[in-house]
Amino acid sequence: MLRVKQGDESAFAALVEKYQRPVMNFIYRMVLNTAEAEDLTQEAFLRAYRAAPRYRPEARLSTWLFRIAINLALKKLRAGRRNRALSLNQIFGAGRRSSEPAAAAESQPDVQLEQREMLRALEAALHELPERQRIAVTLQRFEGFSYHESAETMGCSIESVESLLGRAKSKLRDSLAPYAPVHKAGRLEVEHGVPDG
Amino acid sequence: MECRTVRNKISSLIDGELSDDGARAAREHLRRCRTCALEYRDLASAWELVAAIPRMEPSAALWPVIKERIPQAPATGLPQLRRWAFPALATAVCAAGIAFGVLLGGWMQAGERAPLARADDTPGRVQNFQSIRHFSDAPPGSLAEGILVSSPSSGKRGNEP
Repeated sequence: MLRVKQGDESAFAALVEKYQRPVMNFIYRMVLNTAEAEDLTQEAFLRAYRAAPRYRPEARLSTWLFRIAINLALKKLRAGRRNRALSLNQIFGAGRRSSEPAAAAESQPDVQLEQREMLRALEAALHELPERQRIAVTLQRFEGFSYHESAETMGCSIESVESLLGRAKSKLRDSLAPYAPVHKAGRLEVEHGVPDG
Repeated sequence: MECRTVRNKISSLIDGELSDDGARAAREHLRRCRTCALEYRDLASAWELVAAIPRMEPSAALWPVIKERIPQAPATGLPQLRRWAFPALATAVCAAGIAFGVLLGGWMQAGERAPLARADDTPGRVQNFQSIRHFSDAPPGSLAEGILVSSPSSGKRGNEP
């Protein structure tokens, strides 16, 4: 980042290469639209480049980048809410996915259909969460942030993150209840028991 | 540990954010309490399901597009300056406008008072000033004066001597 501050383009290219996936995935899970996620990812990196002189090394780089991404995603969501409601196509629209589970089940149309339906339900359940809960879920569940890192990124206390995630899990459980039998059938092989460790 | 306490901690237990002692006590409770164990199982299942949402792959054109949009000049402190420069400029313009208005108003007021207030005015000038019939209905030489004079019923009006 210090090299980026001095206008080193190759250092900036390396930074984009390292963080483009997590930043884009975070933004995608907020706006649920592939094209918008790409545009906002570009914008996030350009803002980071422009703001580089103000970057202080004591702040974690990922925290700083995600803070920019959060601001952009929230701005987009709020602007979108004023103009129109999200269409079902946006929630359920197909995007480029690196690990489309349907690929493994191409020969079984029923399984493929069921998995697609499950993914749509998961994205819809995520979309139904209030903004701050969705941010906390995305940072913790998808980007592997600890509560401490999430709190730092979101500018709130660890207790707030704990509370947001607790409420989000309850909501997700309620939204995904109809899919629990499929889940319990063992397709996703989740361990339901209380862990010993 | 009570059920209520454990239920508040289930989310942190799932995320591995409890201290060793806290996690041990919570697990101990879950082994004994079926209701809390079911709550744990349901939340953990939903949490596990959410992780099944696949990751997006950025397009290969992402970096070229960003590169194209990078400002030619290296990053500077200009954006920070811009953030407060506009409001500061607007405030300065407003303040200057108000100051100019106050000064202009004062100057005009002083100018209006001057003929009456000036101590060095001679009696002749003051008399001359008072004789000006600004407020006459029909100042001398005006069309109104002609009409009033020619009208038999009106006679002389206003400040006419």
